[in-house]
Amino acid sequence: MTKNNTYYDKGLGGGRNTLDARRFWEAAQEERLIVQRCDECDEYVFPPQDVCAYCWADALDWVEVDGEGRIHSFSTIHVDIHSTWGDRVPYTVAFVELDEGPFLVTNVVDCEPDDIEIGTAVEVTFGELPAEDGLFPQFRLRE
Amino acid sequence: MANRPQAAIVGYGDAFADFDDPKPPITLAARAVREAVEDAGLDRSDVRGQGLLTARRPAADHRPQWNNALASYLNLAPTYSTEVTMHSAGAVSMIEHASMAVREGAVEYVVCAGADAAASLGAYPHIAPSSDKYTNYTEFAGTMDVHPEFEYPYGIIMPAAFGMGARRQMHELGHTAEEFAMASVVCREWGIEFPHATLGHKGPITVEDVLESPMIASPIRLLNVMPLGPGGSGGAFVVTSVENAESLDADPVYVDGYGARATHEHVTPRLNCPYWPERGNLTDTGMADAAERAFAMADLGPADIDVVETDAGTSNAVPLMLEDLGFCEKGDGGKFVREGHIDPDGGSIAFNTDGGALTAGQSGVTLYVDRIIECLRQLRGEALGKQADGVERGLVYATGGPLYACNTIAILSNTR
Repeated sequence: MTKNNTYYDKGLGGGRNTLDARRFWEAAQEERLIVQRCDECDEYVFPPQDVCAYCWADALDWVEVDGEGRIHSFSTIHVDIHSTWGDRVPYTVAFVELDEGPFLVTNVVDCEPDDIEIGTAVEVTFGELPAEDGLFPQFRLRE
Repeated sequence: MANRPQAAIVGYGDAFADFDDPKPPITLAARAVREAVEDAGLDRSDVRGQGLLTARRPAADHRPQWNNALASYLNLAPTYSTEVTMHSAGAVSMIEHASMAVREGAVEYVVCAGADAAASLGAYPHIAPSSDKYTNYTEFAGTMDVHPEFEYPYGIIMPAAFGMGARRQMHELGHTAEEFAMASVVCREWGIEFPHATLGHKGPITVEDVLESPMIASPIRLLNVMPLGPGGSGGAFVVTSVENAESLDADPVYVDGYGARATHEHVTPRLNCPYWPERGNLTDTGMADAAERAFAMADLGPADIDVVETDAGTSNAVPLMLEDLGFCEKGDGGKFVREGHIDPDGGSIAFNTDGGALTAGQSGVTLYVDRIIECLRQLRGEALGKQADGVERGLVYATGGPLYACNTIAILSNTR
């Protein structure tokens, strides 16, 4: 896959990355999950931005989170229409709610779809994704 | 004292293409405009130098400023013109913008149009931002609207996003897979007689058929999802002031009210938003707020509506819509479908009388133009398929983007 994004650094993850999220992807390569929190309004902001989404202040700080959370919802995909995923069906996408509060979209890996339901406890793991460079946060069942 | 009507729709037109007889979107839109102007009792000179709005540019013709491409084709030389997007739901916003323009006196007439052509997808790869995507519409459409950096790499496809919403509906509101299936069954029943329905010729389906159809993205199955088709469809309508409408030899439909509400472009920021809809909430949508605004403007309520034309990309949206549009209490949408309230025979409201996107299909991004035209047909007693009885007021609801990001509503009436 050819990538001609000016902002793209090979191996940084986030194959379509914006400059706003650069720190997030750098941390992911070190297997750390960091999110932004606003010093002005105390809200978590995700996906990463340059300006606080809620109070519009220039006061966003990065904080590391434990990477533990719960399945908010999920869907197991059985059709081969995504050019980067077609040979991996079935695979599972999910909304995960981190214990600290933020939600993110991710994959649930290393388990059968029947092993998960809304509320299932999961933890972050860092792995590669099809047709992407670098490490991405994904989630697996919590021990 | 209600301040309705806001404006009048004095003519409409449509055009269709088949997969074995394709026509490009611009041709379909032009033919629909020609028919709409004639239907209004107007001459092309009456609408030249007036207003022209187009819905979101077609997937099969990605020229920017598509509104001006259409203006050129028909030599309309508009003095007020733009493309209206709230995703595809901008089609219904055209009614709002056109009504405001004629009320303001900016122009006398606003021609509104939209078209797309599933049979012509990939016909213009040189002007598509990513030609390989546009020749593979399934992938293009399937991965639309996802966050490019934080969602796309995980292989999320549109039915999966709607599937995750459906799972929250089941969890929070008690909706069931059987109710989602029932919604598909009812939309098929409505659409069977519509001559341009993509799946109409396949005949009726049962709840079992839906529940046994292949899983696409759990819990969404094949028969929960709208098909791609017909080969092409275009629609157009002419908006003018209520005063102008009286002097025309036309059969006007009045604009009683409209409303819109957009939340977030992508699901991830929406899930994280600390205020309305509150964090993690995927079952309260902008449609409820848009509906309240439209009903307040029209000084009407859900009980006044005879026909609802909407779209459901996946059938789990049907019970959610019925709740958020105010036809039943939150959590009762599934029961409302199950009890037959939207059935063609014996229902309490006519619903997606052409079968909606689930049966009529979507020929690209023009599905809500198609729904507006169907609402106008019903209000004028000119249905191509099933005609609902005693129709006086109709509601068109459009939603665009992932999980009801953009919501637009118009309330239309055939009486003043």
